[in-house]
Amino acid sequence: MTGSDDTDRPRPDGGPSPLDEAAFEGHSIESLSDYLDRDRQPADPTIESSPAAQHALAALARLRAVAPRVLASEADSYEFPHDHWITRILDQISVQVRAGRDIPVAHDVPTAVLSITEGAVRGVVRDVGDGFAGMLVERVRLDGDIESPGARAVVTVDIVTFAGTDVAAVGEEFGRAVRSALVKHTELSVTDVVVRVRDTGLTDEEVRDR
Amino acid sequence: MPPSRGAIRPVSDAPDPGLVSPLFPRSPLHDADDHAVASRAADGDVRAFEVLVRRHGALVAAYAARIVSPGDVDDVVQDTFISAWQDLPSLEKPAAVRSWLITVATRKSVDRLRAKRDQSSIDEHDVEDSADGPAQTAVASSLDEALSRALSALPEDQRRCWVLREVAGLGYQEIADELGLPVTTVRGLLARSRKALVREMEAWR
Amino acid sequence: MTDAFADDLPTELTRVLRNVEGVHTVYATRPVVPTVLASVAEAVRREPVGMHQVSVEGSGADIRITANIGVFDGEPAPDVCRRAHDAIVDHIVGRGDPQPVAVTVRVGRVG
Repeated sequence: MTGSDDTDRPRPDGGPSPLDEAAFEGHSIESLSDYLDRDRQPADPTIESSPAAQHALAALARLRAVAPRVLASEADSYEFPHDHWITRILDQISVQVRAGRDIPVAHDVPTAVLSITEGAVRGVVRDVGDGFAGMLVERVRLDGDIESPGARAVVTVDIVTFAGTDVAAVGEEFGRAVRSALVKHTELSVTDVVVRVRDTGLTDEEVRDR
Repeated sequence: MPPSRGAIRPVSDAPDPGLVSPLFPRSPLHDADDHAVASRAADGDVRAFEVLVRRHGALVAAYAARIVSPGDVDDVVQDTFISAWQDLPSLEKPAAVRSWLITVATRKSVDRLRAKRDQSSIDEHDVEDSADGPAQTAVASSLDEALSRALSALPEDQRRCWVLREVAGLGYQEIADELGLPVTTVRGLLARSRKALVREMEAWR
Repeated sequence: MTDAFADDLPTELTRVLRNVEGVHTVYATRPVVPTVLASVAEAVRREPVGMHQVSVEGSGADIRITANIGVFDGEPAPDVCRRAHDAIVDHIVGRGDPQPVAVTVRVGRVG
């Protein structure tokens, strides 16, 4: 980002702008602007050797660097006319979109077609994670032919841990709690619970923890 | 500091300038980074999705306000997030959700522009209104605010070209396609918008 | 017992399900009232949450029922699911109708 100091005040006379056309040597603002957008490729020796053109390009590059800041500051001061805008959105989204596959539940009545959805199971795992301090469940994946009764399943849970958390201990305890919750709420045969940890204390690297 | 079991100190590795990070967070979800929140929302957690909406809603609105008329901003914001909910599971880099939302908002904004164009309704009210920017104080107190005003003062086509290029990162042909203009016109509009904005920016150096 | 102002079967079944021990929500299986929408694509997306309805298809001896429920996490979800199923069947048989051909109960949320 630029080193622009926000306590600067505008110069009273404005001064000449680097983009004043009279300063260029046969190059219009359009062509310089275009040149910038082409990442200065292929290099144009007449532009590259012209101090006025370089001055202008530098100004254009500064403007480009400042652009995200302008939008961010507008976002900071943006006021929604009323609070309904959020509920309007939330009312429209359908949780059934995330239902996923149906995991069968057995019953001794032949006309019964009972199941728990994959989405519900992901929610169970998230809730287990919410009970553990210092970590958060990100994603849950069920692998296996889970639509068949009593199917074997491997559960992979991506979690993020926060600074100060004993990753190995929490990962292990959480994994056990997940297994126990799945035994309670599903009829899956869970063969493995794989906990993959993203530690925000490190870089984006994922550390696998089984 | 030795790691202590059970410490609740969520560290956001993608600090949001719009967020105030309290020392003792209300809930880990509220202060979790975009990667965590977007991942959970992709998996179906509506609370996490709400965090995303609250966190990035103003950005989407401010951006849309630079492309469509003020009366359409609310609808674009809604369309953007409803669409985002549908497509979140296919977002490969959850940490990039913020810029991805801008991409979605771009699509929804130009859709709305195109719809208005197809209606061939000449709404003078629209032309005037689209020059409105965020709430303005008497004198610009910062470079950001001065540029913001200068952006508002641009004719709408110049402003749209600039925003689509500099914020959404679209190429000339893409901008031309979205706005229904020749590429040469886009080039000219972009140059003119930059001239005006650079003049404003340089006055602050 | 026939009553000119009796609720229709889906509404009755929704009420039955809500009263089942362990069930906290009956979710929509499909939108009840199609709202005025701009396009078909919008219609697919704007399925409203919170409109409670059990779906009943067919009639007489060929009745098929589908329900989506949310259950508390205190008990195993399969137990509550079975209980919900039984409550539906008991209600239908109890009013003198033949047993349904199929009763589908899906647990969409636990807790």
